[in-house]
Amino acid sequence: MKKIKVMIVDDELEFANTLQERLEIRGFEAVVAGCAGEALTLVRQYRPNVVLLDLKMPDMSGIDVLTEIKEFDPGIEVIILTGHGGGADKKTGMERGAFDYIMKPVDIKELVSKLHQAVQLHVAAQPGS
Amino acid sequence: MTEDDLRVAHLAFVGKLLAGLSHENKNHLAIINESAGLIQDLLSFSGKGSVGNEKIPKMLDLIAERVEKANQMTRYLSRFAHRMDNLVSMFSVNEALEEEVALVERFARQLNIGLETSFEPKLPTLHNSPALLQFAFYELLLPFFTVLGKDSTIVITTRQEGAAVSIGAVSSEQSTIASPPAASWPVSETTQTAISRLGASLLPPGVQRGVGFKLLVSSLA
Repeated sequence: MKKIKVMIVDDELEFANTLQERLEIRGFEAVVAGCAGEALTLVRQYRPNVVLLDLKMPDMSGIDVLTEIKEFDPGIEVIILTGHGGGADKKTGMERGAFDYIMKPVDIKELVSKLHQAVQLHVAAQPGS
Repeated sequence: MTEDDLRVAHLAFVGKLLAGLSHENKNHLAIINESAGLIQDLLSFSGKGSVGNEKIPKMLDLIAERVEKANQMTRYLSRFAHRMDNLVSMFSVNEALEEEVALVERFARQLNIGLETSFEPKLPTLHNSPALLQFAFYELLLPFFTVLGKDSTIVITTRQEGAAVSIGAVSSEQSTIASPPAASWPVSETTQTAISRLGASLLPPGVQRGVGFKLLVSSLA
């Protein structure tokens, strides 16, 4: 069975690398991008199924990264995973096509469940499915 | 620039710093949470469990429990900080009080005073100043802490009264005291000004032991 490909975009590398390992233990394939620029390069090379995206990064806002990812491939699902408290960013993120908005720290079971839901949505949207 | 304008700008500055701090805290908590989770994963998925060191799962559970508590407090802190973004906004009185109670609970605990809430679930949202309401409520609540004896409990209530919301604080002694003791104290000028700016009214016009107070607040015109 093909592994679900996840790209974690977060400048907090200790968080991102630990989460990457936890997802790999659970059968996902995961990569880390430590900044927005790296994420936009990697998304083209790696073609993830789902992106876990932080909102606050030094080189570019997560909302702008989300917009560019969706312009590149609307089929890539994006889950915003951030410590930033909802409000306007949540509304904007969902309007620009994010699959969900989850606050850090996250429960791993909840995250895994969201990843599966995101992929199922993508599969369901495929022609002929 | 008036003194008021300066105060509003100052409050917004404090709020911005607090919001940034709470965001940073969430990142730290996320790293602690994931690191503890990874240790748990490594133990679980290795197939060996914690054989030889049974304390590890207990310690991991304790970390997870404390992370959750700290995370809850950080969420309240973040919400509290954002109350200062705008002088006037639409807000839920229950949410504003919920976070305030969580943030002042420590002061009550130091005096062995318990805080309980009994909020009416479906209150109208108000267009007013949530930060000023929290301040006024704090200024009214604190004298209560000082005069109540140890092992007392204060029950904080919200109820809809027409288009207004009443916020009550009563000591649990109230029901057993036939006539309130004489101990009462005036509300400070600062608090009175805050109540006036909110367009709210205070009943009775002071804080009395055994009685408490009721603040009636509605949307600003």
